[in-house]
Amino acid sequence: MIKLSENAINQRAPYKVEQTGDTSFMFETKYGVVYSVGFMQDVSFYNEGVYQFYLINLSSKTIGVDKNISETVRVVIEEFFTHKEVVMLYICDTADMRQEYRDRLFKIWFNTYEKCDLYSLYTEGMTIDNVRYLSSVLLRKDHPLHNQVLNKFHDFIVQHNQE
Amino acid sequence: MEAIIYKTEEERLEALRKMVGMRKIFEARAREIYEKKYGISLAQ
Repeated sequence: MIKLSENAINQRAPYKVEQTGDTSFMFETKYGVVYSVGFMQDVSFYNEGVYQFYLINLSSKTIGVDKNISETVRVVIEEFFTHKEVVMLYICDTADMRQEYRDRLFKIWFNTYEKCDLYSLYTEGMTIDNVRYLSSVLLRKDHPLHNQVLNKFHDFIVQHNQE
Repeated sequence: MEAIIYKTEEERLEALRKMVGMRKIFEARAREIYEKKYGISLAQ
C-alpha cells in the first residue's frame, strides 16, 4: 500500500488539499465547491498495485470553468506516479449517461499534459447489466510489468464483455 | 504483483460489477469523512 504526501502536493497545487487517508484528499475551491480526490486499491485484475482513481464533487454544485481544479488534480496524479510500480484505473462516472463526454475530457486533459509521453493510456469499453462503461488504465512506460498489465486489463475486460 | 485468475465466468462478471460499482463506495466514504470532520451535511 502506498502513501501520498499532502506536503508535496500543497507545494505545487493551486488549491490546498487536506489528506483524508493514505491516498485520498479533499479540497475546496474559491467558489466553495468541495471535491474528494484520490485512489482506492482495486484488485479486479491484479492483487496489488492497481488503484481506482476518483474525483467526486461532494457539493453537487458547479460554478463555471475553474482551471485550478484540473491543475490540483494533475498535481495529485503526479504525486501518485512518483511511485513507479502503480497503475491508475479510471472508470468514467455513468451519472446522467455522460460517460463518453467524461472520457473525451479525460483524453483531452491527458493529451495536452506536457509529460504524457512518459505514460501509457489504454481505454476499453464494456457493457455490464445494460450500462455502458468506459474504463482506462494509465501507467508509467517504465513500469516493470507494463505490457503484462495492459494485456491482463485487456483480457479482463474483453473476454468478459457483454457487448 | 500477481494477476488474478477467475475460475468461472460468473466470478469474472461479479469482479467486473464490483469494479464499476466502486465509485458509490468512494462517494459514501468521502461524504462520511467530510461530515464527521466538519459536522456539515453535504447536499446530495
